[in-house]
Amino acid sequence: MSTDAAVRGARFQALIVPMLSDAYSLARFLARDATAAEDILQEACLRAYRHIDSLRSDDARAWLLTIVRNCFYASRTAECVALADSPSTAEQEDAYDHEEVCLELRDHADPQAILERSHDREVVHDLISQLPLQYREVLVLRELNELPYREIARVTGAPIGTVMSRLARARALLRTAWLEHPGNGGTT
Amino acid sequence: MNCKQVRPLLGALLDGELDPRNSGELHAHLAHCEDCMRSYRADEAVRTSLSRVGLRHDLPQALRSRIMRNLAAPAGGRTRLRDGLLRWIVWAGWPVAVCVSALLALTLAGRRTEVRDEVIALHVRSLLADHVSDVASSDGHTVKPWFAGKLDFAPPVPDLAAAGYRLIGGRLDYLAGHEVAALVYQKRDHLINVVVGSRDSSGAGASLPCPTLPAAATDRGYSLRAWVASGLCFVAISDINPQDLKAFERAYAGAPMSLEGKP
Repeated sequence: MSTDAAVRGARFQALIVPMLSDAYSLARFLARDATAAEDILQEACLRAYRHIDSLRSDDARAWLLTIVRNCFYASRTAECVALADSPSTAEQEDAYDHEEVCLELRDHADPQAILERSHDREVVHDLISQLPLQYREVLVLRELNELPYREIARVTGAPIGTVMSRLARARALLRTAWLEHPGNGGTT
Repeated sequence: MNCKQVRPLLGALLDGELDPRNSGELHAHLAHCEDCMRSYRADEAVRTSLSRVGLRHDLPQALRSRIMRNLAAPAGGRTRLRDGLLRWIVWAGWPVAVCVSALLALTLAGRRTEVRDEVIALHVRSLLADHVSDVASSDGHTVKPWFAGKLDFAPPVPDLAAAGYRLIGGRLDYLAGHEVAALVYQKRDHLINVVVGSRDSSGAGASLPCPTLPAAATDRGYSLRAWVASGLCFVAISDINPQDLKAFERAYAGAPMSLEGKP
């Protein structure tokens, strides 16, 4: 309703605009393409603006990131129909054994080597981009957006236990890729 | 706790997600288990390296502008609709115009409220997000040139200090889907936003809907005044009372466009 426009604009400016760079970064890592990320963010902002009445002010980051994620998944299929609380589209569960993964880590667990490898920003971004989607998104939500597990679970629609194991898996895959990357071995 | 129980929780320990009892037990285990400690340190090393290279992508300025424009788009759409309607009236002539005028009056009334809402939103926005000005200066000679190249018109920036209005600065903003200049003056504790837009309507819907605003209005405690001068459309908004805003309009609109003349 037009009488709400002022309030809505003010809320958007106060709550959403400070999160835009966060949201854009997530979109970049999900879509792995700058143009697609821009489309996703624009669509997500329209949704956020339209539904901003339903946003609690202490909740803006996870709320916006949920919309961005939903818009990303929707952009791969059809129109963005995403709402903050709509059921997750990424329920395809990875049937992997938690313990198995956590014990397999020993092969690539040399912290010193990890720290000493050269860290080209582009290479690191590239390595993350190559992670399978369900690991990539939890890693980015944690390491970039700095969400607690509870909120990652809400954003991705996965149980906390799943978030935890995906995150462990994501880190294991990343660190393996990191140490195996051919252009990465110069400094030791 | 043994290694099999510990491993799955190491990430949660690193992320500070464990309760004190569990994290105590994990630390106790790590103190004497080299393998688990290595694994923990490796995850830690990954995190350190990630934060060192930085994962953040800067939001392109053009994208930010496009997003803000998009939000104003519904109003812009209606402007185009109205312009189309007006053109059609010219073609069809008087008889139809009379029939349509009642409808048009309704549309304009709706539009009037909308634009007023947007002006208020713009004012509140500038205060809320602590984004009053892009160029902060009390010198009109600094503020005015800042707009050059950003807008296709030059907003007048008179020095009104003598009348009690201190220039705070200027910024680019959006109103009803148009890029506008917003100048900020301060009178005691009150900020006054002056929105300046082009009235040129050669392009479809390129003008600010200035004529659709009432010359003076109050809404939700804000006073608004709109006027047209030298091809530009001006809207002033503030929380000062209507008489004071009227005095401001007189001072602003009456001020000699001195900046054009001076070096």
